[in-house]
Amino acid sequence: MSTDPSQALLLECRRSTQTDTLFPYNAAVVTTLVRQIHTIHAHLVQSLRSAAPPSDEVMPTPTPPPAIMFTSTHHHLQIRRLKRVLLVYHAHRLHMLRAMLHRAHLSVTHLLPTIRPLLSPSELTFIRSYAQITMNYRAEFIDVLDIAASVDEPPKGMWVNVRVVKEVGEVITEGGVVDFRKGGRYLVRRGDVEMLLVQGYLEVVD
Amino acid sequence: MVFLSPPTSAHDAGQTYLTAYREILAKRRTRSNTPSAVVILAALEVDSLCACRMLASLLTRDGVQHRIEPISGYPALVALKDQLRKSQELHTLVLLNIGSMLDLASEDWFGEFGQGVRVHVIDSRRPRSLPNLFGVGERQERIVVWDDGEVGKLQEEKKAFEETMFDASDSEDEEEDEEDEEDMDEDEEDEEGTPRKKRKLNGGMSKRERREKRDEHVARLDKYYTGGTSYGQSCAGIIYILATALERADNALLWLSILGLTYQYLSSRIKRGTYEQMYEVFSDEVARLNTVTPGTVGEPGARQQLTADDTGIRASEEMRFMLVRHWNLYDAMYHSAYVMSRLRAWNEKGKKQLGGMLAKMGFSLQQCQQAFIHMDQDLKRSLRAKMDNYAPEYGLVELTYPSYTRSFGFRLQPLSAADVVEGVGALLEAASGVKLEVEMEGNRGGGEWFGGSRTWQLPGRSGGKENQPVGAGIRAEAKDSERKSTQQAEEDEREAKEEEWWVGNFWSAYDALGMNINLLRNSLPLAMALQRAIVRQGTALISKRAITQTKSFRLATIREGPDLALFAHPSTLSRLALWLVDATRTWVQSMQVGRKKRLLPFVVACAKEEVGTYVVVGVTGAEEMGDVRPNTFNLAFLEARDRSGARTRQVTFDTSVVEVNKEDLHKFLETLAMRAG
Repeated sequence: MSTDPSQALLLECRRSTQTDTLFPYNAAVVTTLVRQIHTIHAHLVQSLRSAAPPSDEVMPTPTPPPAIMFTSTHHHLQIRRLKRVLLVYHAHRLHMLRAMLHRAHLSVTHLLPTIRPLLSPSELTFIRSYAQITMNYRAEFIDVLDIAASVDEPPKGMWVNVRVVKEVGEVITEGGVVDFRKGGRYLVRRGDVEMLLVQGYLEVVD
Repeated sequence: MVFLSPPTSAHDAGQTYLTAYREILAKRRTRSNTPSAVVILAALEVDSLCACRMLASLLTRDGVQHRIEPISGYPALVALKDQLRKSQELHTLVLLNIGSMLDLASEDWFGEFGQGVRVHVIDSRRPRSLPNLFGVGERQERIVVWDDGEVGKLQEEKKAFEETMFDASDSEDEEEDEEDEEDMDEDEEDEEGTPRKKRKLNGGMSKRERREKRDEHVARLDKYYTGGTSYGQSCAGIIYILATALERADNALLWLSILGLTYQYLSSRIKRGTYEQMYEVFSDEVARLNTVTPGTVGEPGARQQLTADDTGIRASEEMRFMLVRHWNLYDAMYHSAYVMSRLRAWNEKGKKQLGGMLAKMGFSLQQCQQAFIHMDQDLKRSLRAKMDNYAPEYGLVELTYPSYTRSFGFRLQPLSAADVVEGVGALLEAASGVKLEVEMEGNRGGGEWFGGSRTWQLPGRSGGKENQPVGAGIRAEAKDSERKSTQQAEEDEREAKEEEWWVGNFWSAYDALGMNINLLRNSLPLAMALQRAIVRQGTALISKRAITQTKSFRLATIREGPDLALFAHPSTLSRLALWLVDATRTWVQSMQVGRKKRLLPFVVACAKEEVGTYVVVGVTGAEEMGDVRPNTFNLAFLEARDRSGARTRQVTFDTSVVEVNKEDLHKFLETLAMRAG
């Protein structure tokens, strides 16, 4: 019955976790769910009102009749479930966004062009301010420690073999100028190209 | 005037590989240790690929940042040279199987590079440009040739070169002033200092004597240069010697150098004798690096005890059947040039003979068309003995050659060096850029359903590309191309695409050599498909009698066919030519009874449709299998071009390959026929 669209949202979360991709923000379903909540809430209020005794009468027992009791509980649970679904959906998306941002070395300018069409306006604001906050935090000790660096794969050595995915051109590294041209492979110091690796200009080969 | 000799011990005082390598290492602790400082250029062949891999691993372990670039031919080399010239950091350039014929110190090549740049040339191709070896001067000092000990034999050429070189300045005067008086001549030379000195050295020799001497020297040089292309020690072998001198040789490096050697042998670049000589050297190394644990001795050959991490190299006797361990026996025999030539299996009669031989051995055809690993155990075990018994009846002597196999733990059954060379070679030629149908495992010969085949695809990586964000680079490229005229843009695009796929091929082959087992395994079906195409085309040429004979060579032209795109690749076409030479060897000899038995060289031309040219390959055939004769087509092609005025260009470093414009082909071949006679 009314659970159908919410099921779709849950399914989407599940799929997105399994495939590790961000799906476009499902605004239509979210709006439907919000509307459903409003409708059910209206029903609930109405049924409670109808059960309420006339205001001048003071009844010793506040318990409403069982029929009303049942309907309102049912409505209440429905609303709770829908709210939960919405929370799960959004929490999942935020979690995912944060993970993506971390993977992108906390650089929002690099990440945004690819995922912008997938975000809702509020998510956009979120990710921007999140990046801002982390940046402020990081800036204090960036010269000593870069907490944005990924730790999934601890580097095996100082050197790394890279191939050029996109033409980069000349890059000034600690050692000197490196001209990264497509088609070649380079053995370079990992620290020199970390940023280019993250941004997808270079790719590690073994 | 720098050439290096192979080191005899680690403390050799002379100019050896070690000196050069140490020189490369010397700069690593300084600020100039960047990837732009050491650049390795590798030609697109298995040998240089192996050498490149070895050198890169040595440098990596020494912490030298470097850059590797595959180079397909002269245009690519020129482009890269222009790109590198601007580089401030460059100090070492290593050329693997590239350009030993070029006068590298000249303005056209690396003459105008900065002071500190050293160009190391490691090339197995002979003859080499003598200025690189013996030239003197500041520029020549920068060219370092890694020699395999051959220079010692070139003393006479050296002398001749030096004489002609230093006489060059006054030789012009001489020719001009031939009729002039002696006094005049001397007066002139009084003013110039150096020639005078030279003259003094020559002492009392009369002018005539001197001229005779000079002519003799020139003739000697000519002889050296026109002797035809042959091959010395493989690049991979040279790097291996370096590794041993550094005391860093290990199984991985050894295996790569064995591959380099096997490639040279399989592509008929070196003689059987040379191969066996090198084989001896390597077998000592194999024994040194692969100690046999006492428990496993006993059974020789294929059945060794394997553990999960066993990556040892073992000596083995290989049969001349193509990829026999991975194909089925029948196909492996049918598709090897060796069997083809003896049984003439391109017609029905020959095929019957092949079947007959298998029947005589007691191998049912059904078993033989079974994948080799699924063949009956006892048949497999008796294969060698049976072959030795029955094969000589059919003229199949010298069925085996000594080689090595390497184990890959539990990940893959052991591969022989030849298997890997075929696989990697196939990747180089056809990993992408051309479509090849490969048979699917299990559906062989019309198997369960309709005989499965699918288009071969490079596994992996392609999926990763799509996830990459679209960056600014592409947009900039798009803008660039807009600016150009559309036609120009199209042309560029086509060229870029071609470039793209051979670069991709190089790297996939490079990865396959680096223990990317999956890729290596997948390359084997590709090698089979490639060989199938070659045999299909070859048999078609023979049975359609499309091979014409001129006085001096035999000619086959491929103008159409399903595999046209495939044979437009020079090395695939060379393989076809070699196959034709091998396959028709005995046939031709038997036809020429009574006449002087002479095996004519083969010229194969293939249309390259999209650019309107023909790729022409010439190979020389030796009378005996396993023998090699120098390839003289390099000069023949050049001469034919000059005489016929055909528009040709040399695209690869292989000197026996040229591209000829469509309209000029006929003219070109006619001239070639006349000349070579």
